[in-house]
Amino acid sequence: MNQTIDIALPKGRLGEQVYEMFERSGCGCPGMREDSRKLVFENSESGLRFFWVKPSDVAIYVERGAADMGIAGKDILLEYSPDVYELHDLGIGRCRMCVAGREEQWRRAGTLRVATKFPNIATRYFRGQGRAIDIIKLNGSIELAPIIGLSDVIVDIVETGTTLRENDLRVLETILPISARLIANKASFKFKYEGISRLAKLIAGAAEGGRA
Amino acid sequence: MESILRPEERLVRGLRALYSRYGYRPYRMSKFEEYDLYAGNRSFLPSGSVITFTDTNGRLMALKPDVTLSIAKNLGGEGAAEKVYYDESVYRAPDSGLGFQEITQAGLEYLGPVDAYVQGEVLMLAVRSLMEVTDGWVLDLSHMGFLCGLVDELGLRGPERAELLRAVGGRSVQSIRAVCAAAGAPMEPAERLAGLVELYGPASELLPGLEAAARTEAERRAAQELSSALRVLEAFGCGERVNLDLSITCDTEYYNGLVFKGYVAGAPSAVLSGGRYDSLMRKLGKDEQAIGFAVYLNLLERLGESAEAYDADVLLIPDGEAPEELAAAVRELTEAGQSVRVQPGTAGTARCRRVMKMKNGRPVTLESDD
Repeated sequence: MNQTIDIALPKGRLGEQVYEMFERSGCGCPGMREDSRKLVFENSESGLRFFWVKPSDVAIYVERGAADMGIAGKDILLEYSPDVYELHDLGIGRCRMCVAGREEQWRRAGTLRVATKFPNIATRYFRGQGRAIDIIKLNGSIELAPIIGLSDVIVDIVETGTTLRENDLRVLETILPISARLIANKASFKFKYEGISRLAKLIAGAAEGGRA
Repeated sequence: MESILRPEERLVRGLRALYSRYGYRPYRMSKFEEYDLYAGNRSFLPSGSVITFTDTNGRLMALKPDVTLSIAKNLGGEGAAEKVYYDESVYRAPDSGLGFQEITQAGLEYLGPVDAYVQGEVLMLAVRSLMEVTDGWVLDLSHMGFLCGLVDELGLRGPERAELLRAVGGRSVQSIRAVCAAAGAPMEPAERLAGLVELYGPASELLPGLEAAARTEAERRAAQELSSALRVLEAFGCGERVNLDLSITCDTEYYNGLVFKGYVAGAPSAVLSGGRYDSLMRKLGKDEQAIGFAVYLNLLERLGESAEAYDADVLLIPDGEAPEELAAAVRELTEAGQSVRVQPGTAGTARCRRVMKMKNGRPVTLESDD
């Protein structure tokens, strides 16, 4: 590879799982696992530069060309519709986007109050069903909304459902499955095609290997 | 003259000269258009929002959100081919969160009989437009004949079709398979679509294989049209760095043939976009064929931005001398080809190559970047 490829990794467990895939593919970077305040890590031998960013920001870094590639959840891609290539479903970080709440509130007639971090996904879903809704955009603790009467239901990602159960809520409908995707900037894909497609194949191979 | 032009002004000047050389004439249009035109063709616009206002005679008007639609509506219909170019501002909200923006674009439109030469010439002008911007460019070609045939064969409608087109545009082979499987669509055309979307590389290398693998008459015609346009492009000496990318998606209601996008190094998204839009012409009640493209000048603002840009060559600080002495010093410097900014006190935020101060009626250099 003769051009450096910039990769935005999501901070947290998902990012670490993905970074393991890079390591398994022989594309790791010294210092990445050390606990430091360093933000950018470069492996000049493999021509890769990594940086950790907030998971919901990865798609922005890639769409705007600050990163050539990145790893983002399908939830973020559906919510913000960034203009990027979605090169591979890595099959990790699996969960579901669901409507959750209590049956009696879900069945009530009239406008449904929906609390969510994902207003676009929720709006599209309920519009498809022809149901009148009132979106309440929250940034966290979504499960609290139906418990204290802020909303009738929530639209959120559900991994195991434990938090819902512990709060006497349940999954009412599954909107779609979610997993982590390898994404690429459209212009970078043209100008760094060889490097990006080679790396995408390596990571896809590592993802398949991890699943096998 | 050249040095006082901003990069985008230099570029527009270069593009005008380029399009004129091939017989395109300038086209100026009003900033306003009746809103009905956009209301009836909302999905042609890259984003739906339009700035509207009521005219003095009570008509609902719109500040132009798009140029092609206006040209297609206002020109043509008289038999003879029209070749026009423009550089205009349009107003739309590419991101609803950021509100309306002024988007500057330059481009050309051809309305009339479209043959292989016309398509090749338009592609050549697209390539040369990219060359005007920078040396690092790529032009990607596709043909709606492939996409339309396969998408129709899959029989998806409404939100499922929209999701499939999103997957195609995102080059997501797995999503294409997943959408088709979930909708119960036949998997053979789904696999063919996935295979085509995965293709990317030099058009001259990939087109022979694509032509040989064409399965329907529409696909064969599409491959042949791409090959003939490429041959014309090569005859113009512009066949290098032209790639085949069948993941380019455009609204199938308006675009019907060759479609293309241009990228330049340093810009994160396509800076040029164009294609054949006979279907739009038919929708507007016209028989002509049409093809054109636009260069999005606002995306080029940051390219080649120089950190060393100066407001003037010389910052001249007066020192209580007579105004005539100051004027004589300024005249001497400007006649020597230097730009001069006279400013009492210090440089402040002004960026100047050289700082001079008047001393005994003569300018003396205090500091210089040279």
